[in-house]
Amino acid sequence: MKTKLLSVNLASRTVNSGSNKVTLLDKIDLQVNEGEFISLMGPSGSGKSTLLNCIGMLDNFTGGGYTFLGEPVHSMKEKNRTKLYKEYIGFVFQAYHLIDELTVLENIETPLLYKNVKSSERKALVADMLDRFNIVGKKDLFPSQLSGGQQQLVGIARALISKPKLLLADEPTGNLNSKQGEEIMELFSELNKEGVTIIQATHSESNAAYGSRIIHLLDGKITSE
Amino acid sequence: MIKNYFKIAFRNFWRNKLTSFINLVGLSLGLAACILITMYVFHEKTYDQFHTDADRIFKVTAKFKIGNDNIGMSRLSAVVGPQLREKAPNIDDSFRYYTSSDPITIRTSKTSSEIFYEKNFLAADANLFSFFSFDLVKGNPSDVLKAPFSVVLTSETAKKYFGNVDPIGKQIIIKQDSTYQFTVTGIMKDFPTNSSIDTDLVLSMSSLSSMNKTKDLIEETLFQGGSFVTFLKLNTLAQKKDIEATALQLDRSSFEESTNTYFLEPFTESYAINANTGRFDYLQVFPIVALLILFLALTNYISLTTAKASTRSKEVGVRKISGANRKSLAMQFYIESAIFVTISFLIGFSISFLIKPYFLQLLEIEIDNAFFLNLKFIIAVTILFVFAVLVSGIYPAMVLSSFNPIENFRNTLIKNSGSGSIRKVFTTLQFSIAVLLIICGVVMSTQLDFMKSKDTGLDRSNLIIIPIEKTIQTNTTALRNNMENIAGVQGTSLTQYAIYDPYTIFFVNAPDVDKSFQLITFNVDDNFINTLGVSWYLEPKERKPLVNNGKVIINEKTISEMGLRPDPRGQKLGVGNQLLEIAGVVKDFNYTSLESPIQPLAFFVNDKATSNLYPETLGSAKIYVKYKEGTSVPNLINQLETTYKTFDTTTPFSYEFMDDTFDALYKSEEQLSLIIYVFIVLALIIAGLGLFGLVTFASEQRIKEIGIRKVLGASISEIVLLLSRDFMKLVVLAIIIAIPIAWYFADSWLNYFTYRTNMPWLSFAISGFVVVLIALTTVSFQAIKAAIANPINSLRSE
Repeated sequence: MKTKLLSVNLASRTVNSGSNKVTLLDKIDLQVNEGEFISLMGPSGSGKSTLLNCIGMLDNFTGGGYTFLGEPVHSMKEKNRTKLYKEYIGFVFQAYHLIDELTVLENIETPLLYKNVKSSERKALVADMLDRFNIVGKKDLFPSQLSGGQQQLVGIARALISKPKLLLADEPTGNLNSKQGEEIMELFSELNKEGVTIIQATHSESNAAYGSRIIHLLDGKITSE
Repeated sequence: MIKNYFKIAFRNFWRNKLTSFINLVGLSLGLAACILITMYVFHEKTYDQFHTDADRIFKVTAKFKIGNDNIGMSRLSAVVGPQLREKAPNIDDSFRYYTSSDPITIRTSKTSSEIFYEKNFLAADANLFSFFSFDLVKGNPSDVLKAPFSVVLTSETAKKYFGNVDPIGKQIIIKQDSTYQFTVTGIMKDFPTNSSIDTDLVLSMSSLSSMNKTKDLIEETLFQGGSFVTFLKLNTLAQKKDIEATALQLDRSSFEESTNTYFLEPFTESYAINANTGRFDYLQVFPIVALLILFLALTNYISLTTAKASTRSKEVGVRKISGANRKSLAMQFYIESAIFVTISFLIGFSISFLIKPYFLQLLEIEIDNAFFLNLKFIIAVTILFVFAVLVSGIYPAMVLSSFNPIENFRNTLIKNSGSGSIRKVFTTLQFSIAVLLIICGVVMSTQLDFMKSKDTGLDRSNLIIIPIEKTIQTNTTALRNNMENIAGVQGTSLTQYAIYDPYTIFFVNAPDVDKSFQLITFNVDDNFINTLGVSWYLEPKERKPLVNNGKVIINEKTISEMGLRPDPRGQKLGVGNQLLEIAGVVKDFNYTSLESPIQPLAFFVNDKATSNLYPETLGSAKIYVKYKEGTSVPNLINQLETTYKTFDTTTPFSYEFMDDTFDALYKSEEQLSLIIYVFIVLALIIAGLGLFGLVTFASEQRIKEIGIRKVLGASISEIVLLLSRDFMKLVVLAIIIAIPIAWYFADSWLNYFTYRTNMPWLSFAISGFVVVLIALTTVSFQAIKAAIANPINSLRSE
């Protein structure tokens, strides 16, 4: 029996735009076990990113329940949520979102700083990560000196540095050419095999195929699985 | 973590070079101005506080009554200090010093031809160096001033007299009324610049009884006013009243009908009490100006930093996603501000150190460099620093740390980079301050010009004033005769004082009117009225209304003030124990600065032969030389000097122009307006820099909008207008706010003057126009740059 990582129960997300109430997510029901690799698919505006953000605790559902590792996130205080998030979740973005003023090494190191990891330990962890992604030679370069694929590698390395259980990726290959994209997806499969649970949002059928489960979204609703 | 903050802070400064530069210049200049002003204010406020026992030292002063007036005396008779110490309770020590307005001349040997002319000297009690905290470089503090004819010199004076030779034990020959030989017993450090007692050489008090001029003064036995500045050091401050009462008793036992009352003035307040601060209390104006400048500099930093904040929004988002909470982000930005302010502060401090000499020159004061190490000053500057760090950091830290990561990632154009309205308020306030300062500056100059060009009832042109000392003896008539023979000299006059110098007041009464008045009196010779171009209101009937014929000349004002007849000629005035007949009346003229009203005044006219005695009887006098238009002045002065030297070889020749003397009356106003101009320029630079930064930012932020508008066919001028309009609105609003405030200040300032100019409304308009012009130039520079950019570039980046 696989352990349940998270469950989203009839959760919704609405925003007020002027006097209109707009529903971004509508009664989403989703169970995720540890070790799954889920691809979220759907056209622009279908709610993929919003769902990822809400699962990633960067955003909150406005209705329904959300449980992460048995803990009720929806009724949690901001502080505890941040703690949970820091411990278990990593994020990868389409536009990489590296800090331009920091070097590769420093970018990867940042999450550890906020977890108050000791300097010696930090160095060891970052060195491992650089090694693993084969970017040791680039550690002192700034993001602007790297290709898109390399930047995304750094982005993934940064997401993985704090050893998350769940990796959330919002169109991770959207800004990359097909060859770079394939490499990233291969990397994801590998990570998944090592036990990292992954949820990715994607437009591409071929990328979605890497996943063990594909969920289609339309207008904030799950249409098929 | 902290290391990381530092690193990113420096990389950010480097990446945003323009903003960083603007911020750095604005903040450094502002802080430099504040540091200088703080230094000046503290220097003035800490006068005499460096003495170890400063809080226990009191200066004894007295007041006596004449009519309804209380006249202050700051010098008392020789016995006041010693008697109080003996009779009054709880006095630890007393100290006296004596100064003379008559200069002395000094030679280092009888045969030396080099003569030094000294005005800044005093005679002090032997306990000078224990009573006060003045330091000796050489000599034993307790006995350098013990023996008669001992003298202690400052290092500088010693060097002047003896070069590098050890001066201890050397002789100097001092000539005052007669010639005396003094032995140098000690060398003292220069007194600190914030000491109200300042001197180049100190004679031992015990010498005075052996010197003709001072023998009577030092041997005076009555407890009353006199020639000695007297200090007491108390054991407990509680006894102050008792000591004042004892002084009163001692005074009455000297002279029963005396009206003197005595006061113990705290020494540390004495300078402030006696300083002639006039209408311009720099000490009040400067801190306000410093605060305004500081406000400008800090708000500039805050608005530029928050305006630039959107460029940091991605970083904030990423950091939040990496686990940063708001507190750690706020801390990061706070540290960044702190680093920035610290750098600016260090630069500002260096700037203030470099421009200090010019600033002090402008104020015509001296401040020791050692004052930079004065504890109180250091504390004040530290407070300034901490304040700057606190204030500059809070708002940016709050704004920047509040960014929501999801919003930021979603929108590439950030709407919410801190509240734009706060920046609008700041910009408006900055320009209001600039306009306010400009208007104040213009009003000051207008008033100054007004005073300088006003007809004062005298002809100041082509007049040279030559001070004469007693050393000339009775040679002024011969001197004047010779001077009058120099080509170009139209005439000369000899008077007791120079116009615009302090004067003597007599208490007079008019027998027919039965009232007593203060009357200012001038001893002049019969050529005075012609030489200075004073006009007659009622001309005397006789040609020479001489005082020794019992005649006096008055001004118009005397008639109204004393209630004399419309034509008072023939009426009598009781002056001292003389009864003088009014012979003529001159039209009112200003004999002091235009800030003071004209008061009743009388001339005692003497003929050339009698006035010849002025230097002898009055101690000093002035010769006025009127020269013809077109005379070569350097040549004339040369000839005057040569002539002078044939009659007085002791006192060096000096001269001044009447015009300069008059202008010198407005020195403090002149200085202040000059300094205000410096601050105006500073304020404009800072406000201009801030505006420049904001416009740069606004055009960066609206780059996409500009691109789209251009693609849709907007012209360059339309884009410039679009970008400028918002800012120009703020500037105009600033002017509207500033004008009434400026009017209020300027008007109340002008009301201090007896003769005030009208409010220069035109200059208000001009100030506004200048500010708009500066702002417009700043704004359009950036706006044009943004407008002519190729829209393809700005749109492609989307």
